[in-house]
Amino acid sequence: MSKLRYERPIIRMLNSTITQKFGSSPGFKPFTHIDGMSVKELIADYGSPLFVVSERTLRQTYKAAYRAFSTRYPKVQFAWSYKTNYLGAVCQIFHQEGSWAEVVSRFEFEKALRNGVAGNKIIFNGPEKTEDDLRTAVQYGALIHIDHFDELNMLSMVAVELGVKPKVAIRVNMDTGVYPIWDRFGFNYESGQAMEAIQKIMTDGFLELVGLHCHIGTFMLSADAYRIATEKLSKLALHIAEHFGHSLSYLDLGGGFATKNTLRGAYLNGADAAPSFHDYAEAITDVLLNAGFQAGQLPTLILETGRALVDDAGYLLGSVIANKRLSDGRRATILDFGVNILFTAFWYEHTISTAQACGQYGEDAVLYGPLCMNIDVIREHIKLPPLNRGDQVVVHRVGAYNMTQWMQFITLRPNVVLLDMDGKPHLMRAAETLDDLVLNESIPEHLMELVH
Amino acid sequence: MIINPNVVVREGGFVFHAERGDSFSVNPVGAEILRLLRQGQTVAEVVQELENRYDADVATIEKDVTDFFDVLRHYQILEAS
Amino acid sequence: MHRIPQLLLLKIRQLWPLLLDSTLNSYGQLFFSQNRVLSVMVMAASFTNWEVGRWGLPAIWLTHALAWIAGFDKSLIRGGMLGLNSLLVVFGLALLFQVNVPFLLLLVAACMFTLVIGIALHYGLSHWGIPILSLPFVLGIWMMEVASRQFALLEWSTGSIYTLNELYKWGGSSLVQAYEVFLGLQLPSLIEGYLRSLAAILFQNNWFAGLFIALGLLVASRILFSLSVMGFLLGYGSQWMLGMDLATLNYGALGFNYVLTTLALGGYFFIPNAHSYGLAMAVIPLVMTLNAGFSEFAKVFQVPIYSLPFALATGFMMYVIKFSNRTDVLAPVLLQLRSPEENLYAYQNQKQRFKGFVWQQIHLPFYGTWRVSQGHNGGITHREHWQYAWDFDQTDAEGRTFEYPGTHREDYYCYNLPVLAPTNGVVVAVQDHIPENEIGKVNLVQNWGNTVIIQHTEGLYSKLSHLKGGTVCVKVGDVVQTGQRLGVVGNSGRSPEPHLHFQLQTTPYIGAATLRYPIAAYLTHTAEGIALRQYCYPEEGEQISAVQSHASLAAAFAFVPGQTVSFQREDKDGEVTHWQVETDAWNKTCFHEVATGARAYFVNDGTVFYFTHYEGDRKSDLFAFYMGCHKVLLAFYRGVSVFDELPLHQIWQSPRRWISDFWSPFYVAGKATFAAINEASEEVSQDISICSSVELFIRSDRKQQYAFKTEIVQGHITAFSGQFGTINLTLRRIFPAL
Repeated sequence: MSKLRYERPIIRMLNSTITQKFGSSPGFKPFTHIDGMSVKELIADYGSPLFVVSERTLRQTYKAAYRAFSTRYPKVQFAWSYKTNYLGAVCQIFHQEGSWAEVVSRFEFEKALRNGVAGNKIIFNGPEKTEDDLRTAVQYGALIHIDHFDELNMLSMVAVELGVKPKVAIRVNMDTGVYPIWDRFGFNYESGQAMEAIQKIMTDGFLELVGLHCHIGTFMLSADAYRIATEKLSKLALHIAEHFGHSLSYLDLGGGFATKNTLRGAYLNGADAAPSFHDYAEAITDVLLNAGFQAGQLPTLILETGRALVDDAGYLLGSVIANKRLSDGRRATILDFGVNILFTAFWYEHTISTAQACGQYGEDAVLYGPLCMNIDVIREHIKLPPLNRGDQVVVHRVGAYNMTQWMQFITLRPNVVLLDMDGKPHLMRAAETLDDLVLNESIPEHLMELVH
Repeated sequence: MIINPNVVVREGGFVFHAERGDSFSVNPVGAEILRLLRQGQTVAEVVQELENRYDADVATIEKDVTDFFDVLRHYQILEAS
Repeated sequence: MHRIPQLLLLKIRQLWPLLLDSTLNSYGQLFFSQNRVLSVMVMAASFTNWEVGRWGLPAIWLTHALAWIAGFDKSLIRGGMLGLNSLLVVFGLALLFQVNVPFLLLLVAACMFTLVIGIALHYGLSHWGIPILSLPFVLGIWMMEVASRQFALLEWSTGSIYTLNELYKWGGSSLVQAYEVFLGLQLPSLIEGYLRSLAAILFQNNWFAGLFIALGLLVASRILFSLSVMGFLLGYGSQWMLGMDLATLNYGALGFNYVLTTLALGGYFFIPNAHSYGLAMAVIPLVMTLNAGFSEFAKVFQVPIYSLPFALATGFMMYVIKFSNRTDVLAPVLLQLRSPEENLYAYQNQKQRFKGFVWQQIHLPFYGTWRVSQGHNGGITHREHWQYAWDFDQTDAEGRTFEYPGTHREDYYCYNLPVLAPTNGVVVAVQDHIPENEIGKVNLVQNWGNTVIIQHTEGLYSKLSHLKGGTVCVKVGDVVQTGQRLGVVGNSGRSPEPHLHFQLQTTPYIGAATLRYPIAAYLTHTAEGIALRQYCYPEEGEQISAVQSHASLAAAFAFVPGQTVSFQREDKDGEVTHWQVETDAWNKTCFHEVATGARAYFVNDGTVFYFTHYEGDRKSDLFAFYMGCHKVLLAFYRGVSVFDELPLHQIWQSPRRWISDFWSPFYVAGKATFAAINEASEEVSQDISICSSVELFIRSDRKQQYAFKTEIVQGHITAFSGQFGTINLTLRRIFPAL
C-alpha cells in the first residue's frame, strides 16, 4: 500500500474575526511560475533571496496606463520616476515605451544621461539641487522644477552666468482635501506664494516658465484629490495666460497613484481599494478639457507615475530558514529576506504565496526576516499553509521602492533578474560581495596591523 | 498523553473545547493524531503509526508531533502532564 | 499747361500693360494662345501682305477704345477676344476694297458692328457655356460685305500689286526679287497647303506668313503645333477621300477650319489628352460637312463662309459635351494658363493632390490610437446600405481587445472611453436609454443601441453608435464643437463586445443608409512608423489616431488678409521683400509680392498649410517660398514626412521638356515631388524647423534637387532659406515696429 502524502499536524483556533465573515478563506494556490519561468529553477540558478522583474508586466502596465490617459486627452507624456526603481534595465524599458525621465538628485540625473536619455527629456525635481547640479542641468537643457525661492534665485544667477534661458516649472502644493498636505515641497497655492514665484520668474525674464508641477501625495486612494489639484493648476495656468499672455507647454500632475498592495492596517484589500488608471484619468482629463484652455493651446499632461507602473512587475523569491513556536503559541517562520531588502514591508501587507503546493490548511503565523533586530518583521499576521525549512515563498508587488531603498545591512543585497518578453531570465544586477562592501573603505595607517 | 475529557473531536476535523468554549479545526494528520491519542497510544506509538501511514521520515514526524503537542498543551486540549 | 502732357504720360504708363496685352492678345488669341512670341509672329505674319496687315492695329485700337469708353469688362479687352474679331473683319474688308474715305468709314462701322455683336454674343452664349470664337467676325464680315454692295463709292481691290510696290519702296529691287523668289518656291503640296491654311486665317495668301505662324505656334506650345498639323492632315485626308475639291485647301481657303477646330477642342477648351485628341479627330468629318454644306448655302449670297464651320462645330460640341458625364476623361479647362502644356501639368497636379478632397472636414471621434475593427464593405455588418461605416476598438500589444478573461464589459479596453464630435455641428438625434448587452449577446431590436446623430451641414450627418446608456451628455438641439465629448463607448445594440460605430449619412435618421465620405486628416501607426493620410478612408486593421496641431506651427501659418509679411535677404545688400496677404472675390487667399506682382494662392485648413496655385515671375522670392513650403503639416510628430507634387512646368524647364511636350498629352515622363519634415530639438519646444526638398525626376532618374529650411520661433516664421539651381537664398523675417 502506498503511503499518503505527509503534512505537519496543525490545529487552529476558530475565532469569529471579521475576515471570517467574508466567507471561507481562499485556497492556497501555489505560485510556481512567473511568465512561464519556474520559480524553483530561478532560485536554483540565481540563489535565494531573488528579485524578479517581469518585462512583460512592465510593458503591459505602462501601455494600460498610457491608454487610459491618451484615449481621454490629446497630449500625454509619462516621465519615469527614477527613485521608484532606477535599475538601468527597468528604466530602459520605460524609455523604450516612450517615457521621459524624472529625477530628484544629481546621481539620478547622471544615471538618466547614462541610460541615453536626452537632456531635454529629463525632469529635475527635488529640494536639493546644488549650484553645480543646476549648472549641469541647465547645460543639458533639462526641465528644472523649482522647489523654493533659494533655488529660484540660485538658478537665475546660473542662467545669467551661462547666458542661457533654461526651461523651468515651479512645484505647487495645495489643499486637495487630503491629509496631510505636503506643504514642505514647492510653493503654496492658497497663500499666493506660487503666484509670487511666477511673478518673479516672468518679470525677471531669466528663466522660461514652460509648466507647472504638483505632486500631491503618495498612494492616493481617491481620484478626487487629483481632480482638485488639476483644477487649481489649471486656474493658475489660465491666470498666467491672461495676465502675461504666456501659454504654458505642460501641466505635470506628478505621481502618487495607488497600487493593489494592501496598506498595513487597511480595512479593504488593496485590490478593491485602489482606483484604476481609468479613474485617475477621468478625474484629471475631465478637468483639463473643461478648464477653459483655448483650442490648440491645451497643455501637455505629464505624469510622473512610479509605483503604479512598476509594483506589479516585481517579485521577491525567498526561502524558509526555520520555524519556531513562540511563547504565545503563534508559529513564527524565519525567511531569508528581511526589512533590509524588503523595505516596503514597513508599509504593506504584501500578498505572499508559497512556491510549491503546501497543503490547503492555513495556519496563523508571523514572518520574520533573518536579521537579529527586533524590527525585522515581514508580517505580523498571515495565514499560510505549513512551511518547512527549505520551502520557497513568493512575495508579490515589490517592484516599487524596494530595489532603491534596500539596505546594505547584515546580509548582502541579492541578485535581481529580469524576465524578458519570452520569459528568459537576464541578470540585471548581480548580488553584492564582500569586495563590493569594502571597496570604498580605507583603513588608516595606524590601524593596519592588529596589536597583539 | 491524555486528552482533556471536555474536548470533543468531531467529523471534518472540528474540535470543541466545552470548558473553555473554544472551537478549533485540525488538518487530517492532526485529526489522526488526536484519534490515536484517544485510543490511548503513547507518543512513540503515535509516531510509529504515522510513519507507517505517511510518507515521511521518523525524525521529521517526531519533531512535528512534539511541536503539535506543545500547541495542544497551550490550548489546554492536552492535559499537562 | 505742362500738366496735361504729364497727366497723359502718367495715364499712358498706367495703361501701358493693358494696351500691350490687349494688342498682342488680339493676334495670339487667334491661335488660342497669349504667348508673346506667338502673338508677335502672328502680327509679323499679318504684315507680309502689307495692304491687309496695316489695318490690324488701327482696328484693334479703335475697337478697344470704343469698348473702354462704353465701360465693358476690361478683362474682355485684355483677352483680345474683341480685338481679334475686329481685326479679322477689317482684314477681310481690306482684301476686297481699295482705300478711300468711304472705306475708312466702312472700317469704323465694321468695328462698331463687330464689337456690339461680339458683346451681345459673349454674354448671350455664356449662359450655355458656348464660346463666341470668331462668330462676331463671320457675322460682321458677312454683314459688311453684303451691305457694302449698296455703298457705291467703295472700289474693289486690285490685289497684291501694291505689296510689290511697297516692298520696292523699302528695299528696292533686291527685296522685290527676294519676295518673288520666296513666292515662287515650290514646296511639297501638303506643307504648302498647311502653311497657306494658317496664313489664310489672317487673309494672307502666301506661305511664309504661315511659316511665321507655325514657328510661333511651335515656340508657344508644342501641343498646339502638333494639333494644327494633325487637324490639317486629317481635313485634307477626309476631303481627298470624299473627292472634294482639294484646290480650295491648297489655297488654304478652308483648311484653317480644320486647324482651328482641332486647336480648340484638342488643346484649348479641354485638358489635352488622348481623349481630347480623339474628340478633335472625330469632329473633322463634322467640320468637313459644314464646310461643304455651308459653302453651297453661301453661294446663294455670294459670300465666303470664312471660319463659320469652325465656329459652329466648336460651339456645338462645347454645348453638347456638357451633357455627357465623361469629365473623368475629358476635362474642361477651368482656368487658362499660358499654354495647353501648362494646363495639362497643372491639371494633373491638381488631380493628384486633391483627389478625394471634400469641403467638410471630418475628424476621428476619439483621442489616442484605435484600431479599425471593421471598415467599409466589412464582412460582418457593413454591407449594402450600411457599407460605408467604420467600427473602432482598442487593442493591446498582442492584438487582443480585452484583458483576460474578457467576460465582463469592463475587461474591454475601449469600454468607457470618451467619444467625441467629429466636427462642428448640431445634435439632431439622441438615444440614451438602451441597456447594455452581456459579452457575446446582441440586441437586434434596437440594433444601433445608444446613438448620437449630428448635422454638420446640409445633407451631411454623422452617427456614433453603441454608446453606454446614461453617458450621453448632449441633447437634441445642442451645438457641438469639434472634439466635444458626446458620451462613452458602451455595448448597446447589435454589439457583442464593446466598440464604436461611426458613419456619415445624408439624412438625420437612425438606421439611414451610409454615405461614402473621407476623413480629412489622420495618422496611421505601423511597424515602419507614423504616416499622414489626408482625405482617405481608414482601412480595416489599421491603427489610427487624430492629428493634434502644434500651437506654434499653427500660429506661424495663420496668415490674415491685410497682413504684410516682410523678409530681408541676407545677401544682395539686404534687399527687402514684402508679401501682402490678400483675398480675391472667390474667397481665395494669396500672397502678393508687390515688387514682382507674383501671386501664390494658399489654404490653411487647420491641420495642413498648402499652396494651390502660383502665377508670376518664377525667379521671385515668393516662388522659392511657394516651393519650400508647398505643404506643411501644422503638427509635430517626430519622423513624419508629408509628400506632395508640384506642377511639372514650374520646375522642369529645359529643352528636353520642350520636346517632351509633343507627346505630353499621352505620356509625361517627369515628376516634381515635394517632401517636408518637421524637426524640433526639444519636445516641449515652441521652436520648429521645417526641412523640405523638391526633386525633379525624369523617368525615375533624379535630375534636380532643391533644399529648403523654414525656421519657426514662438509662433512666427523667422527665417527661410533655400538652395536651388545656382541660387542660395536666405531670408530673415522683419516684423513691423509696434
